[in-house]
Amino acid sequence: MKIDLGTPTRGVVLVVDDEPGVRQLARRILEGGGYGVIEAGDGQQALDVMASQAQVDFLMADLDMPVMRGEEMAVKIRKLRPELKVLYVTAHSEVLFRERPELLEGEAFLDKPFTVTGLLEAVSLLKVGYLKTPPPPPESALTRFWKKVTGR
Amino acid sequence: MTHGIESPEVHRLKNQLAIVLGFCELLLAELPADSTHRADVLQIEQAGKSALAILRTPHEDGQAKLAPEAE
Repeated sequence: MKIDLGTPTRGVVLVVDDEPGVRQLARRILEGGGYGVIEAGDGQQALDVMASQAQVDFLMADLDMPVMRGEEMAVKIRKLRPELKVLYVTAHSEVLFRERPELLEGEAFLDKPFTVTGLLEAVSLLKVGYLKTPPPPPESALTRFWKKVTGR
Repeated sequence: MTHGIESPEVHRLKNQLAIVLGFCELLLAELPADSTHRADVLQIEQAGKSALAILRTPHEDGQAKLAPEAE
C-alpha cells in the first residue's frame, strides 16, 4: 500500500492493480490531472485503505487480480461506501460484459491499455456523468500535452 | 502454442503494453518537438500499438463506458 497524496484538488483515486508499472502509470496520469492517488496492490490492501478512513473519492479497480477479483473487491467496498464511484479497468472487457451486461449507476469501465486522455476522461465521466475533462493544473507535465490535444 | 484472447497470458501482455504505451505517451508529451529522441519513442509506440492490434477484439476501442442509468 502506498499513500502519498500531495495536494489533490479534484479528488482522491484509490488505484488497485497487481501490476506495479500500471499503478505507477496511473499515478503519473492522475496526479498530472490534479487528482490525489493512493495505491494498493490487491483487493485486501484496498479494503485496508478503506477501513483506515482515508479520503477516497474514486476507486480504479483492475478486474483481473489474484487473491480477490476486482469486482468482488468493489462489491465489498461499495457496501461500506455505496456512493463511491468505481472505474473498472480490464484487458478483457468482453468477459466483464458477458458476466454483467449492464453496469450499475456510478460505475464505468475502461479498456486496458488506456491512454492518458482516456483515463482522465473516464474519471471525469464518473465525476460529473458526462465527458468534461478539466485542464490539468499549471506547470504539470501534462499541461503541454493537454493543450496539444484539446487546443485549449 | 496458441493462446485464447481471454487467456491469462494475453492479460499479462496487455498489462505490459499498457505500461509501454502509457509511458511513451507521457514521454512524447514532455519531449521538445525538435528532440532527437522523438522518432525513437514514436517507433516504440508504433510497435506497441501493432502488438496490441494483434491482441484486441474488434469492440475494444480504449474509450470509457458509463453505466446506462447515468448517461
